[in-house]
Amino acid sequence: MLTPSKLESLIEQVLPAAQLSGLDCEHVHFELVDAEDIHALASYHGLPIRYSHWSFGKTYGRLKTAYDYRLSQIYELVINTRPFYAFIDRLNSDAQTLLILAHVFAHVDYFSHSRLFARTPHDILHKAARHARQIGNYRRIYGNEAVESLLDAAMVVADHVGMSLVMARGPGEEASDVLGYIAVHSAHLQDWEREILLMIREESKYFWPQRLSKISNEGYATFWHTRLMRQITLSPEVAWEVAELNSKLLATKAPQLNPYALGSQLYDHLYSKKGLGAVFEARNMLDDAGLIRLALDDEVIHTCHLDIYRDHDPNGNTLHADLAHIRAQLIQDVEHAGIPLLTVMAEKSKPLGPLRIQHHYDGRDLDFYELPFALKAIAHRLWGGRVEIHTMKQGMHHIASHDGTKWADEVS
Amino acid sequence: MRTSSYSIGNGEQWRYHGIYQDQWRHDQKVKEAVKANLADMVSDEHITIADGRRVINVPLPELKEFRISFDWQHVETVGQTDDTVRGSKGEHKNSLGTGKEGGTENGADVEDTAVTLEEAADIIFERLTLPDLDPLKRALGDGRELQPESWDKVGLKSRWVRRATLREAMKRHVKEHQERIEIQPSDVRYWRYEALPADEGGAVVLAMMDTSGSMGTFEKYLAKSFFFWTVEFLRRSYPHVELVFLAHDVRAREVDEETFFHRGSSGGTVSSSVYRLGLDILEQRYPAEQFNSYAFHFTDGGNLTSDNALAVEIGMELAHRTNLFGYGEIHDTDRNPSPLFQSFQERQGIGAILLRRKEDVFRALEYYFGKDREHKNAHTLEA
Repeated sequence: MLTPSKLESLIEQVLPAAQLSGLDCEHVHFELVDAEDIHALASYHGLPIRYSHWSFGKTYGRLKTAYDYRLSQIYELVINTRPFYAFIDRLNSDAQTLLILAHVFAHVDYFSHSRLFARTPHDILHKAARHARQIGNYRRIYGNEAVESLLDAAMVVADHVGMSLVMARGPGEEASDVLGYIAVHSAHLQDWEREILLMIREESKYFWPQRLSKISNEGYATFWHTRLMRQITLSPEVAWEVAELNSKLLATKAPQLNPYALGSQLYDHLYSKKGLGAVFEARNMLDDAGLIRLALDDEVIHTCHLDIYRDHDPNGNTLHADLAHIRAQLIQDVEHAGIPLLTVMAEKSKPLGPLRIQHHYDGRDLDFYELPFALKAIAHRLWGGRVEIHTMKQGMHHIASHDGTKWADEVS
Repeated sequence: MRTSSYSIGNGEQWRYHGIYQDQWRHDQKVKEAVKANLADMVSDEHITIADGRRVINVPLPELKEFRISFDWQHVETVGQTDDTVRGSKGEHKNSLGTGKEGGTENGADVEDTAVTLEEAADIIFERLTLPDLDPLKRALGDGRELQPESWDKVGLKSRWVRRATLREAMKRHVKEHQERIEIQPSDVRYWRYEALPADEGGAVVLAMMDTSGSMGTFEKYLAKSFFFWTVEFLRRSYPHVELVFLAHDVRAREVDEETFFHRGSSGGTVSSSVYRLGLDILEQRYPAEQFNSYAFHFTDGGNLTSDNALAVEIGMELAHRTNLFGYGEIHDTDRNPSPLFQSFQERQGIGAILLRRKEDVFRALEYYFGKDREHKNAHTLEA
């Protein structure tokens, strides 16, 4: 079991190597915690003090069950704040911890340099704690039911908060801020409700760049922990354990995509072709889509065994698609964090009229099973009236709508 | 290169209690959702058939977190094929998280919650209560309980009996002509505990069923689930519930459980025979001052016309004798209720109901045992 003094001696092994390699390791505060605490943290997406909602409890139950059955394990968790926080499971062995520390320092370096995180608030922990307190107050004043139903509905569009932190790809970033638009323009909401929506929006904005850089961030950290472990002199036993953990992290299970495996391959490839400068440049400038555009060539597709899957069917029902198809599909998968791009048709949405949302169709249909429930929550709790979504389904224009009581799906 | 520093904490202040609150709320929502699906659960064939299987899976659409998302069932995505080296061992999903988990784990969000039978029963029985219970009727239960019964001169200090001790001291005081009353060690008395039969209530359920040729699988199945839950429910209130299975066609006889539910029979239906048998059995074996008794009769309503008058008469007698007499008529079509049903319906003290669909089992339970039994006199249960 790790103790603070033990951890310190391990850091002293890893940190100099990381610095010599050019990683920028700003102050990191390490916390040794139990597996249970790390699960709780992960359930709150890394914000230790966060407003209360049953969905976090649901995630926690799932993580805990997966851990109890040894299906998954979370070794560490880094929070992008200043100072950086890194939570380490105190049951990790010394050898595992060496690798994990290298991984943590690379994350810290990534967060410090990537353009995506240039504007994320450094005091997010305080903000989240303030939100938690304020939402707790509103629970006491307006009742659990009112607050919970508001949170439930807000979460439907919580991911659609605009893209102001990345290059604008859509038609104007203001319009893609669906949650913000509702918070400001809905005639149905009271002031305290607007305030809660804006809090959720702020937290979503904090998470958004992380969702755009899952492969690049994890890949970068994996790239570096592999390199750093080679630089440090390890005894055969330790080296064996490090290799074992590394292979666990890189294991793939069809039809999933392992961001550690793919990401580190992409950086490896960049490094072997263009040197370390290109790696740092990619770190500074690129999100997942950018990194894939730059570094994913036929060779990487082969080494990573990439293929196209349909219907989450792991039984080898791959299409054996051509490489250009795979490349294009992967870029589509990661762009906009894998969620549909929605914009408010502001010129057609008046506060007392229907809320009209445009889905920027890219060939992928929306889930029409979920859609009525999702729209109902918005119509009923947030907008107080009809909510429309303009989309395509199997090549036809559809206007799906819900007015709080009735669901309609018209072909236009 | 900036100078690097770091600090280390031992996780003291990172104890999460908030998450338990959220987890509790999630569990509560699961319970609510289960409650919403109660009717389906009560008539779940698996529950009543298998005793070994004490866990049921309940799909809970209410607990899905809905989003506006792609239809992942029909969308192509890029994935990796299994490791050729590690083979099937690659199923570990490990992560060195960076704060935000998931986001791409689509399709994993279908709620299917496993509920134990006990939990399901808790939720179902929450709304039920024992009707017309006479708490004075107490039969000897199975269990034995330690009770303070008599006094002893030795024992544990915590079992000291003040009153008896004082009395001993006073007796000695009188006998020995002492000036003041002083408690000597020899005066002290202690409770002696003895294992006595637990003085708890007992109940008997007369399960009466028409096994004539017209009773099909569906009818028997409904009757069986009703009896299953009734017995589960009564067992919660009484340590000791006895079941008496009475099958009848033109003649009534006491049978074992297996025969009761599975053995087919033929012939017509004479309901009065089973009521008479029920009364006799109660008379002989279950004295009214000791047992709360419940009688339920399930039939498809095809009673012989000539027997109706007698059946009503003896049925009423049975209703007076028991805490609750329920008459359930099971039709899988929209037939009109039988004359017997109508006669029972007109009288006080008998709960006559019609069951048409599986879900009606739950309604029947609510009807007989529901806490809110205002509708008791409505006497019908319309599907």
